[in-house]
Amino acid sequence: MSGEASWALQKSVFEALTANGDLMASISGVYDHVPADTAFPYVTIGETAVTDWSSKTFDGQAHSFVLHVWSRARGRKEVKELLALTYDTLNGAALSVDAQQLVVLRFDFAQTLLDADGLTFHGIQRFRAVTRALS
Amino acid sequence: MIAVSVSFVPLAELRVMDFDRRVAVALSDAISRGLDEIAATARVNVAGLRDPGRPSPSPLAESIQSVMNADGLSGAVQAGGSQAPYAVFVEFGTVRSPAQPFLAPALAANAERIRADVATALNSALGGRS
Repeated sequence: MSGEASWALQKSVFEALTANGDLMASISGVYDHVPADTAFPYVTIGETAVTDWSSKTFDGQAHSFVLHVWSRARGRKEVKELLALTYDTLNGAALSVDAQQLVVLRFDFAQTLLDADGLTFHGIQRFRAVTRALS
Repeated sequence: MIAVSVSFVPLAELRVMDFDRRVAVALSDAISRGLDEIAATARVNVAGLRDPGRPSPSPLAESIQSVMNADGLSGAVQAGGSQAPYAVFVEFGTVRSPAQPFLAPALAANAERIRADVATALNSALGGRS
């Protein structure tokens, strides 16, 4: 059950991000697994965590998931602009999730840092969501 | 340095300024216990990531510390610093290596227990007052 809601949510997040024309015009793609030699910049859907949010009357789950933005531009401008686009796409969005009601989808935190390679800027953005199974 | 934080955010009708010393101490103790639990879980998570063949102790695990803020109602669990400056790359990954989060899952694993512990401490200190 947990896996089903998590995957359904990830599919919806992917669909929302790839439907954003401004975002897709700025990146090479949105990935779970990144193909070799993928051009920068790009977005990856990263780590997720799911906890129970059920009550006596319904099954629900609280989700936390991370988006990563990878940029080789000089300076943080590009990575921050891309983080703004992903924020605008997802924060408060009323996404359609298979067999679930998306109760809430909210931005949690973001951070930018220079990667260990000294070349790549890494934008990190975490969102929280709550889903309720449709019976 | 990376960190996760825990704060007591009172309901509007329960103003912190109204707390007597006993309530403040109970809350502070509960939050401090919670931070210690998060730190302990994070150390276990780091141990799980570590190649069994590597010598102990792990600098990353040893860098994990819980710190209470001066207000006594909030604090953080920190990792990294000069002891393990690569902590952020473990938690969030790099362009070449996947993230191996140890702090965020530690917070998630303990969040409900901390909320319950804080509520119990508050109720106990208030002596049934609401």
